[in-house]
Amino acid sequence: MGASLAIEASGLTKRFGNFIAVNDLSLNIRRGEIYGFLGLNGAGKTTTIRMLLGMIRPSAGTVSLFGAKVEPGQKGIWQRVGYMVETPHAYPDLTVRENLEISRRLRQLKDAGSVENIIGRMGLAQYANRRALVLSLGNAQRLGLAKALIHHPDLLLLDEPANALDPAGIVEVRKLLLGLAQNDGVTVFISSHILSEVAKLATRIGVVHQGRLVKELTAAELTEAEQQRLMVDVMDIIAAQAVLAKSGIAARLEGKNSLVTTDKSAMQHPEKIATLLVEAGCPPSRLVIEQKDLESYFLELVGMKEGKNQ
Amino acid sequence: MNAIFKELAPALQVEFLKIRRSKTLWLTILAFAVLTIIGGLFMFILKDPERARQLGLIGAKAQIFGGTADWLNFFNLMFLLVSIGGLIIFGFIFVWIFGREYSDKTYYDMLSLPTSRVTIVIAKIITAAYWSMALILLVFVLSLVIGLVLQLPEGSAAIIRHGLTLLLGTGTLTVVICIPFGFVASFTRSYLPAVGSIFLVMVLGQIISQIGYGQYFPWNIPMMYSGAAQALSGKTAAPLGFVSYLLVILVGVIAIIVTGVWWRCADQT
Repeated sequence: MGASLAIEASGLTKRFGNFIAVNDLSLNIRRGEIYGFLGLNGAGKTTTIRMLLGMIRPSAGTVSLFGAKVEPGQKGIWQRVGYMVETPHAYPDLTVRENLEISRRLRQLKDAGSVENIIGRMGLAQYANRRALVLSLGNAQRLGLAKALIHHPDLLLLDEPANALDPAGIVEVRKLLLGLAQNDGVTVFISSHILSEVAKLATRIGVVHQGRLVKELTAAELTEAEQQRLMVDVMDIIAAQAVLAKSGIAARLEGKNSLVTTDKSAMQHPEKIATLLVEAGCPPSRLVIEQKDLESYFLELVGMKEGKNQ
Repeated sequence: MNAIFKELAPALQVEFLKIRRSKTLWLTILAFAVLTIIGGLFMFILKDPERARQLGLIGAKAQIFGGTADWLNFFNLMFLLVSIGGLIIFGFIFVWIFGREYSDKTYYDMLSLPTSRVTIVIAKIITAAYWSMALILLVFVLSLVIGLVLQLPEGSAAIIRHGLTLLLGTGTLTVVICIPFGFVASFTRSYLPAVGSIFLVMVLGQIISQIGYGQYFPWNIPMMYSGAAQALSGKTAAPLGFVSYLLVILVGVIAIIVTGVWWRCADQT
């Protein structure tokens, strides 16, 4: 099992005194996946990433990357891992090129050309001789990503990589990460508190809240969660449900007086549903097509209703 | 062992690259250059006692520290400056080399690498030691130039050799006792407590000297070795024995081990 997994975390727990930052969290992330790790600020995302990277020791549980256990003194595995934790930081007195040169040497890359390659790849050529101190936030983020990618890692762990980027930068990073996963088979683990951003990128999403993994869902499941639904408010919901079922429309109960269906024909012709129910003696008091947004879904998942429905 | 050297060479190159562009390097060079020039100024004043009297306070202080203007006294003055200034400036070098990683938050980039954290710690200590000893050599070379310009009397190859030996010895001892300040900067993830610890040991050193146990307080040893403690207090200092040097070595070795273990095992939040 371990060999096919890029990340395998089991029962990961981190306590800081009485505070439990991460609580019995388990992850199995396959190679080539883009895994979105979603949570509110303070949910335990950064602590989890730091444990995955061996920066902090779990109070309980284990982490393995590509089958190798992460523990103090472990260094063989890191040649395959690129990362960016929190906001990117660089030596302010050094130029972009020099900062990357430091990464190259510490990663023991023999090829001196790897610095120029990554500068070109990340669009940093015009800033290569500028000191990191004077870089814009967006370019500092690029530099951080360049440091994470300089050694062509098999696994990329990124903590909120879209922070500080303008919309064009966000699209650029998304394309870059998608390209890495699709073309080079790189496994990407990306944390974020912005569901819509993760949804555009991830093949699977884990939702973390108060240190616990509360839900894991695939991109398809997420799309389903986001999709439209027809909501019918009716007095006799049992009778109405039977009427709809007779017409081949599956509807589930929601609350005391509501039926919900995601049947496409029903949403295309809601007037037919209304006619059907009126003729059957169960006239609807309200009939509305809802578009459930991701943020509402996310807030529901972490138990912070009321997410707004449109 | 071979693997350590394979890792150490790039780690050292990285540390040298970092200091090459820093303002701190030039500040420490300036500080030691100014100290040496001040020493030269004292000698310049002492060469002409009449001028020393006319200059009042500076002349009086120059007589306390320097006595007469000759090569031996000039070097004695340099030993004093290096042993006191060295503790502050070398201490700050160690604090800066470790503490900057936390203030710039670049330590994250050093934690999950094919180069071990212990190698990085060793590279930092070697760099700080090299930097500090280069400053000692700067003081020596500047002293020679100033001494020659002032045409100080009673110079000989033996005195110059003595000057170099004592400067290097004082510098080496000072470097060793400054290693713990790098640990304090790492442990506290900040400059301020580490700089505070430098001044704390200076104050403690004074108190412990006063009660007669200065030779057992490692941070006093360089001053006692160079003769600066005696020059400052006017009292004959207790001779340094094997235990004193052993304590200095122990402080250095323990500091290296503790810093390495801390970087390797502590939570880097």
